[in-house]
Amino acid sequence: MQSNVVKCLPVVYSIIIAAILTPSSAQETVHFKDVTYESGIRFRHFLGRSGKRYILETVGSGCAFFDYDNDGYLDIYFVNGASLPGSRQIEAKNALYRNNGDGTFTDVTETAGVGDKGYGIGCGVGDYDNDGFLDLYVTNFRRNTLYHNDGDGSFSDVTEQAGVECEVWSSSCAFIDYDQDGDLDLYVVNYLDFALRDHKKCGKGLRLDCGPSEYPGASDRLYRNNGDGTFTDVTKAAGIFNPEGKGLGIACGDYDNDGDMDIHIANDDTRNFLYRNNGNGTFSDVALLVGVGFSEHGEPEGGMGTSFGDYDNDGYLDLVVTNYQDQINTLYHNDGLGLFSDVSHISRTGPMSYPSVAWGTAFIDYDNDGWSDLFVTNGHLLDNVEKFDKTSTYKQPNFLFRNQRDGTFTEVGEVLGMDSDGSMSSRGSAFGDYDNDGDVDILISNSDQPPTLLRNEGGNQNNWIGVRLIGTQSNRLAIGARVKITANGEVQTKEITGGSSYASASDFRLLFGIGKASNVERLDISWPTGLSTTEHPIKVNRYLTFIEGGNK
Amino acid sequence: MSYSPRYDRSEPRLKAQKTPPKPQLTRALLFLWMFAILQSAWGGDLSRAQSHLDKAVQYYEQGRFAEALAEFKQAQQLSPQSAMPHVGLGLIYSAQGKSDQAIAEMNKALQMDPTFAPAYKELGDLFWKQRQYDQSEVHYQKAVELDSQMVSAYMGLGLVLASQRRFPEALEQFSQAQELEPNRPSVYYNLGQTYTWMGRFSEAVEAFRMATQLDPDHAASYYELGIAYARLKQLPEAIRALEQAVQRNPRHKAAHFNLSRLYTQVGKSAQAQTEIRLFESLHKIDEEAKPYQRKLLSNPEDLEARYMLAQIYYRSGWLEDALEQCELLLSIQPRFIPAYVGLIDISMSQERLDVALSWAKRFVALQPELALGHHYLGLIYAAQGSVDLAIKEYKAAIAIDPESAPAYNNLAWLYAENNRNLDEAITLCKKAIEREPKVSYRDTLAMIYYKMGMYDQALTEMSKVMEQEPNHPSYVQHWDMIKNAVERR
Repeated sequence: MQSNVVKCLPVVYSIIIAAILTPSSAQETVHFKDVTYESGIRFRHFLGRSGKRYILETVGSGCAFFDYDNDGYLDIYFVNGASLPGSRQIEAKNALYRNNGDGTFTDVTETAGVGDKGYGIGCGVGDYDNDGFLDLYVTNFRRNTLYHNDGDGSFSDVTEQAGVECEVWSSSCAFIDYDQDGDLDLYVVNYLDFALRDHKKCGKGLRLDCGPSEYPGASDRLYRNNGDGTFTDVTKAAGIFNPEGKGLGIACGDYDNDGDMDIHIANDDTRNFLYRNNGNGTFSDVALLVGVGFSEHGEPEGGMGTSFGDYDNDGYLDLVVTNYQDQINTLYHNDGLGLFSDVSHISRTGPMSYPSVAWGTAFIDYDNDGWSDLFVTNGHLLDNVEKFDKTSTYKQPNFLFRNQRDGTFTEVGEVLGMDSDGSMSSRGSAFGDYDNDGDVDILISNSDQPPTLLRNEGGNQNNWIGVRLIGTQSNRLAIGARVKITANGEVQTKEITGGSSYASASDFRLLFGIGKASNVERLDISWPTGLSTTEHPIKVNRYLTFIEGGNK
Repeated sequence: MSYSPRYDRSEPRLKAQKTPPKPQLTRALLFLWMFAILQSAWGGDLSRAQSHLDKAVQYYEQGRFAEALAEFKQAQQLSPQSAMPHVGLGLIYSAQGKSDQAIAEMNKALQMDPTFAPAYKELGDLFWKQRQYDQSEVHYQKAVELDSQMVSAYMGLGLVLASQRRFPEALEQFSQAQELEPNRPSVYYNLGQTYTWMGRFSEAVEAFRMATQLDPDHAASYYELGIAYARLKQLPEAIRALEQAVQRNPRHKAAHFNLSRLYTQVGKSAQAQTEIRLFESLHKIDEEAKPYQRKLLSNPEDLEARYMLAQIYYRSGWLEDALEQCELLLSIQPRFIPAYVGLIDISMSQERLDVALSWAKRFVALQPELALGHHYLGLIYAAQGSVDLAIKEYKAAIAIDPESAPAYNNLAWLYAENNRNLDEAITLCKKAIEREPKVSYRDTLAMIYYKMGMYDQALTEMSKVMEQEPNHPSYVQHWDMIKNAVERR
């Protein structure tokens, strides 16, 4: 097999120190530093508190790490709320921050033209026209926006001509090539069939909010890319029409290893969906069949965020779902036979989450030891919860569970300094190596507060390799491609996904931690088209770019 | 920090029973009753107060909260310095979901008698329900200080500590309860839950096994045992335990759900399919009930929501649950007629005609001007074989409501069944059909003709019935009878 490494991005930090550290000492020396302010980020999320307690005021927003200007550094996008009847009337808008490459960011919202003013919930990133520039889709309360990246630092609102307005209450979204025709389609997760005029008052005393059970759900939408800048709504034809859904989170991944992307939807108050891709343009909801529709006890839960990842390195994507208070987050182990087992208790990731309202999540290997850890953002949705429920707080600490490599996890967030300045009420979270130093950083959107940018310091003391793929026959971002590496005899598998967490989008590059291994013995890429690429051996601590079918 | 809903709150836990579910605090109330008798600090009219108290306890035992409430109030007025009536009122308010009022009554009881440990324990329960764990803990502590043998207070303390995720401390309290009462199944059940939350699954298995041994009827213990085995990957044991759970409680939704998963894992796909279907049907009922359950959480006196819930349970064949809701309806609003109707229907479905009769009599006593009550009395008497009484009640129903088609029909059918007044039966049945041309009334008419030997008329009426419902087993049987008679003629 030909080698097709074409680019190596600069490695910022020296790796020499890492070579003399053991994995356990690396674990202790990793630290997450809140660099939000020092990096120049001044964005503050605006919830639009109206005093009326619209359900809209509870869900917060997401964020994205994406390299919109192709300079090799991840930029940042924040989704914002907006004024509501009765709230402070300000001109809140989304914000784009350009990564200056030196650890700081500059607000370029105006020049880029992506300051959407709708009541924003989430965003998704993809190159839907395969022109090499990342486009942006923003999910709003009742009218979404598709921004086409014009390649000159600016974007154009092409929503209407593309036909992806989706005028309901959308939450998360994902670009995926579900029909494997080489261009990215768009899956939009919708939450409730709700307009402000439908607002109800529930409860009495301080607790006047209504939960999602008071409002009907709304079907998600699937838009097929026509290849000419327009999309066709194929929701019903593809078999994903389900108005009972109250979707908040989406995770895309090939859970059954059959070569196409499946979709998991975390629904609030109703059971979750797992749409298995039938490989013929249609999906079947197999959630109940494979065991990911309900909690361990057969109850629907308040699903918020979700993510796929292979935490036990067995080659099958496992699944996490974050849930509401008084429910535990659910970790499903993929048993490899088309079935999942609920291992929330066994893994020790579940019980700790019982008092929390959990949102964004991802499997990330924060210490580069070769085992995916689990990150979860938390925050109650009611800002007055302390007044009527002494067991809870609006601001809640986020969790980082360290993978113990035996199927269990230990929470280490506090140890790693993740809440050094007091906790926030967090919502969406995005993941990526914004400083290109070889370890994963975390971006968190906090409800009605400034965001948090957590720089990973010390994760790169273990060795690593970063992989960027460019599709030629596959979609250009190679969403759906799977990369398997072998280092020190251990195999890891990751997939480029078009969406996960809650209402957020993350780095498309795959970052593999390999502990003390001095090289990667073998790297295998399975492209969405079915083509494969193999490379070996590979030097570590650098980013590599592979082009589908390309030459060295 | 919060409470795990899978802990066993019941103290003592009631076993499955066919009689209407009683409040779970019955034993506590009886204790309090005995305590009250022994109390020397009664003021006011002691003997009359005691009499009301006796009645209150009886009503409470029967789940007749409204009457119990009235009696406790009378007792309280007659003996204003006594703690007991306040405790009784508190227990009723608690059972009705009116926690604030229950807390107020319990506090009044403690003002009268600050050493009354059961009231502290009840307050512990009430604050726990309100998720005020600090208050709950304080009151349970006070209860065990005053009565170091009160197992239920140790259990409560264990629960409130577990709710705050203070699991080692919770274990201590459950162990204390275990020492005092080593054969109480719920101790082991709650120990098992605590071990589960601590990730000590093998110990959880042992605790749940003990719970099942001590109370072999308790489905929830088998269920948790099954789950604990499943976590340890001991699938055959897990399946066996879950099978025991559904055997004891066929409506155990979670057990069906997990059985389906485990059957799938061991390759028993047919059984898995059956279990998933059972799960789905139970889940459907749950989902239907949920909106009303939520409404009741915020307002336990929402009559409409409670009635809807009773209807859902009744339609689903969950008669005990429907019964409980109807009784609660009457405890909130003693003149709520739909609840009487529900209670009569349910008791008749359970073939408990005496109970049905008792409810129907109360219904008629309350609203004698309603034909429906007399109609029900007629139905019940007829089912009991008291034909004359049934006839009297049907006639009363018709007198009150001359447009009541079912009363005409039922009286006609009663005559026909007993070969009495068949000519009048035909007239009555025709009146029923005139008012409501139901196929079942035509069937009645056909069978009266048949009994009178008027086979042609019977055939004509029955053919109309068969046109509309050709597959109804009873009609098919009647049709055959009539046809045979015509052929034999």
